[in-house]
Amino acid sequence: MSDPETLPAGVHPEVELLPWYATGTLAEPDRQRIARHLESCRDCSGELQELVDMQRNLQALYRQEAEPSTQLARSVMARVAADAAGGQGRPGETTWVAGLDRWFRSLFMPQWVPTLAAVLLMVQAGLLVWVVLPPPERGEIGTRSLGMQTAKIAVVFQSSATEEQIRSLLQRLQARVVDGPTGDGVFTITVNTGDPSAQAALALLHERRDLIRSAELVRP
Amino acid sequence: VLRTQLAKLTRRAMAELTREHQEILRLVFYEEQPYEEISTLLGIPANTVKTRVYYAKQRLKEQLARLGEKEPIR
Repeated sequence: MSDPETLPAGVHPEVELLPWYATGTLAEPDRQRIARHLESCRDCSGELQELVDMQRNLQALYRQEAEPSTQLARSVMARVAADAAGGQGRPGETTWVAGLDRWFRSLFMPQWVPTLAAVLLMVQAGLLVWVVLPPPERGEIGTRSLGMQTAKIAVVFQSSATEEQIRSLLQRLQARVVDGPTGDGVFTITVNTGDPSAQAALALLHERRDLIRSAELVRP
Repeated sequence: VLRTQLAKLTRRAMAELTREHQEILRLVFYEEQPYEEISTLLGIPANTVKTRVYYAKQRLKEQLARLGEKEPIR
């Protein structure tokens, strides 16, 4: 509900200016006019006293709350409203200061950051997959090593075979132990599939019954 | 104690006022702005500023009286 544009009947027109008389912000001619009126008007003097008391109370109240000034609050809200309307102010207001402001803000909000973040995420995901996946079989040529073509043979040595005899045999086959022994005494050895071939190595192992109890090719 | 009670009462009475009345009372009595400047700031005629302050003060006085009757200051 809006207020009437005029004072109630019977109220002296000087009352309108009493708030500014009380706060000492009235222009000199008006101040003198009100002062003269107050000398002879008890009603207006009473009104003035009420205004003085009210100001004291309100000042104490506002000092506790310590809000920003109305002018500042209105200025900020007007700016927010203008920005929310989608504009950067009225066209005529575009100054070099506004341009500088936009440039400075752009430093903190570069367009390429989301793209960079996405690329980094993809690289990290790739690295994670690469680490988690099992390495390729030794017989395969992988990207992480230049492995030679090899074959695996499960071998059980005779209990009478000495370490020196076994080593000598493995050197002759250019083989090496890569696993074992299991609970059954099975060792896994690898041999190059080049020269001699895996089958030839297997045949040689079978010939050495004095050292080898059993030998069979491990199928991948 | 009396001052604290009065401050509480004034705060509650102010809260009952319209936003326009709260705003103009703050501008006049706390920020001590001349009515010409308030007129410019709010974009309303100077006469409206004067009458608005008058009615805002009346509303605040009424609210203080109402609240004071409910909870007299001792």
